[in-house]
Amino acid sequence: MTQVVDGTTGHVPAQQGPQGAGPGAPERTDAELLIAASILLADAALTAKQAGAELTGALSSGRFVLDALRRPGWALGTAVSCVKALTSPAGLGFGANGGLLGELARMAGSVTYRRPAKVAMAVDAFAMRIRAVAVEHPNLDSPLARRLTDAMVGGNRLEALRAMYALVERLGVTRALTTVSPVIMELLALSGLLDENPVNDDFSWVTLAGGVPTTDPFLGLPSSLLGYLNPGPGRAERADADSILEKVLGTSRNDIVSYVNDIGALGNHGLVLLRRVACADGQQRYVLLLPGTSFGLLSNSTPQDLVGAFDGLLRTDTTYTRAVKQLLLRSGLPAGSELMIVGHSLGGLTAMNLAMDVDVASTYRITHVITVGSPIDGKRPADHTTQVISLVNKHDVIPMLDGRGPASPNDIPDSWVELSWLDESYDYPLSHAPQAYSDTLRGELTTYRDQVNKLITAYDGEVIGNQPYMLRDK
Amino acid sequence: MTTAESPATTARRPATARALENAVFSAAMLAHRLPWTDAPARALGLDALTRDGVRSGLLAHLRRTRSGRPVRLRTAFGTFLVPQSGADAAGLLAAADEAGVLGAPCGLTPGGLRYGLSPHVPLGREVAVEPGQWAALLAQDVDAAIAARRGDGTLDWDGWRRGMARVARRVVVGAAAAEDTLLSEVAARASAESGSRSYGARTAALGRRLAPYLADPDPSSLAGCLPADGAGPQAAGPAVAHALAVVEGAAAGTALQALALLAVGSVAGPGEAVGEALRRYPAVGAAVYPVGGAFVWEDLAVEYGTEILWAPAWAPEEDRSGQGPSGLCGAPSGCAAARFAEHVAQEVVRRVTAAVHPVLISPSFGADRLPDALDPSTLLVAFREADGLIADGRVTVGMPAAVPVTVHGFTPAAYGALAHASADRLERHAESLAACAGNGGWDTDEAGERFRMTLLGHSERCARAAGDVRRAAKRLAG
Repeated sequence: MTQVVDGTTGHVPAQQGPQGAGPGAPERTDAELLIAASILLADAALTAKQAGAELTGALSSGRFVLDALRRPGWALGTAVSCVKALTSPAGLGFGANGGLLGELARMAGSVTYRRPAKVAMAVDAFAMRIRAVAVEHPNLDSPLARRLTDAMVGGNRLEALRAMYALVERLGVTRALTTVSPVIMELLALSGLLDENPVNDDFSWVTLAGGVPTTDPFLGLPSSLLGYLNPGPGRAERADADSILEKVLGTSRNDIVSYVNDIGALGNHGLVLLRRVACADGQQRYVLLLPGTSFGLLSNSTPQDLVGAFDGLLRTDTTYTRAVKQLLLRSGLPAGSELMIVGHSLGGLTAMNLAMDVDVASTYRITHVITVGSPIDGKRPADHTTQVISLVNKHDVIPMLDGRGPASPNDIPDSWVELSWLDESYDYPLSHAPQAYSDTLRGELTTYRDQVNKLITAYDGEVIGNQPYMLRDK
Repeated sequence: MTTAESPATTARRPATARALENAVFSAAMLAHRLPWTDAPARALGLDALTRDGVRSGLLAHLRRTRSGRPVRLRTAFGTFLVPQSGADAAGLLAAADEAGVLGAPCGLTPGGLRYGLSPHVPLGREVAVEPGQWAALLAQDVDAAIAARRGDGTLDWDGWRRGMARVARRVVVGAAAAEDTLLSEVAARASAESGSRSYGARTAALGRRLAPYLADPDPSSLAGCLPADGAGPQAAGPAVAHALAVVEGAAAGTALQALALLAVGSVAGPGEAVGEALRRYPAVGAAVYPVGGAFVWEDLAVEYGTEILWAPAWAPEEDRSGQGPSGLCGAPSGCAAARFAEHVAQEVVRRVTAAVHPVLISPSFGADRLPDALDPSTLLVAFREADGLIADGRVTVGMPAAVPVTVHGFTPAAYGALAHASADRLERHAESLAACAGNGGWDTDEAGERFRMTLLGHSERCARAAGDVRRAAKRLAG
């Protein structure tokens, strides 16, 4: 292989010859090579998009018009040259974008099914990512699943719907969802790029670039709109533990399994828990336990609802975080106190959202954020010393919703501890339950339990207070 | 002279601007809150009728008609005593300081909005700033900021600011604080909320954040150079926090403005560029100093409750004396941290220009016609490889600046420069994709061979597109 240029060298694995597979084992293209090629293609697609935007911007700018009045010959030649570059089928294709005129041209191209170079390269980049994931997730390589992914790559949504229907018919809804979950972001991005809706493409480009989308994949609505669906200043009130919760809390200690069980006992109806611990080193520290979403209603009177879950995924200032801030204020937690936040699902998202909040992170010292089955990979705590521990069952759909799939080009910081495993005992939604995580950590993955417990030994000590709080939107 | 001598009976009151002058000044400030107000004047080439033009014209008029003496201006945003030169401002503020009646200043935007400034705290000693002394310390972070530019070579302001904040933390607080983005956030909020009710809580949070670093200060940092007076790490906190705020402002804003001045060739080297950027576009463009008691300066009686407005950025051509409060800090008596910050900004510019060639994309101006204001957050500068080096071949996917930005309102030449860079990148992509297609790993199955052909097809298309875009870029560049 010739030398790959500059920074791209690091992305392509070393030269490989044909792989000698064992007898009977089908030969497969290496996943690493597929991901490397997809990154190169994605970068090329983004550059083609940028080049198109620049030429479109030049042609539609007022200054170009003013210059054209002074130098009509130059302007004509330049315009012809730009238009030629923007429309050449062998080059950029129908590459106009950006600005009013550019976006109108792009939309016209989108509804007439033109596939400019940037889109063609982006689609192939996503196709390579899907293929790379299939190497490690054989379910995705089954004929039915491949029928679905091929239809999505080909932009044939009717066939994709048929394939999805067939997949659901064969595997059931939950297994079908679990099957496609590792590539759900890629499929949504492909749908956004290749459908007739020209205003939802941002989702696809941000996903391609390895970022966290801030628009929805179907209508292209900005995430800020979720704020209107999830209003309220947040409220926290002291609550009493019922007998079941009291019993569970009575045996609780500084152990990740214990925390996950406590969260399970808190339920999903607005209860959270603030624990005071007299630690072995003589210091008093605090643990905040945040449960996840209640799936009963789209929206309820507590922050733990489905709307709140999407809000927490895409934004940081939510009713859940506002209610928890009220809780911290109300409980009289001294400024500078050390705090560990443990959350499941939406609770984990909220834990990260609180850790991202400069006011919270500078008033208290958030030493640990432990998330259980939460899609947090696009979020970063404000305090770089906050130890983030993420527990993920790869068979759980929810942690994949942050856009970082197995073949994504983005990665989490080195300082994070991500402990992931594949436990296929339950399909979604059971695979997402705190009890499923607790069972796994208590059973075959006790090493992970020990690893987490080792990281939180600072919180060893006597529990001197367990105070549940009821959180409300208003 | 003391305040007890009833200065009003022995000295003159400052001259007051006429009603029309007050109204014009107020209107110019108010217009700064309205976008596009300058568009008609700019389209007609009437710079004197832009908001900045009217304001500086009025200040020049006041200087002429009041013999350069301070004037009391009554505006919709407050009544200010406006000194007309740097020397007068320095004298006036020094007299107020000496009388013990000078309050903490706040910033004033061109639109009349007030904002908090990092409270000046003396460093206690001058920091040695020999040429190149701090260069090694900031090299790594500046290189990282250069590498984090967008695919087309342009700098993302937020990314650049984050990179320079990192430089400031390393240089001022120490290597251990380089990653501590929360420290910069808290320091910025403490500065912005200076004088407000929440300021106490912010400074307490800032103190907690700084304490571990100051307990054992990095000897290679500014904090490690401060004199140990036995008062413990908490005592050095406010001075270090002030230095951090000032150095961040200089490394991010002033250095970028200096790079823009270098790009258009209006200055010769990093030192001159930073000096000129600070003179023309000081970070503290206008500051309001409240006076908490009456005092006399020369023969001028200044009353209790007066607000002194010193706005070096509003008429930079009128005063080249370099006197007056520092453009980075606003302290009337000079600031060692600001002088150090200026040195750091010079080192940043020196490092950048040694590695890459800055190109100004927007706004459009030349060495012979520099703008009145140059907001670093709206400034678009691109970095090109220095002559003789190969074109940019970075992979930006996965970086924060990977998503292309909408580009509008530039000159055809600026679009040409950007398109030329994109053509270079497309050409590099063509080579990369072709090289990737040559990898033997694709030979294993039918899908692999199909992907190889896909890569080769895209490689060919990238090469064609690169040629087309380059031809268009050449045309645009004129």
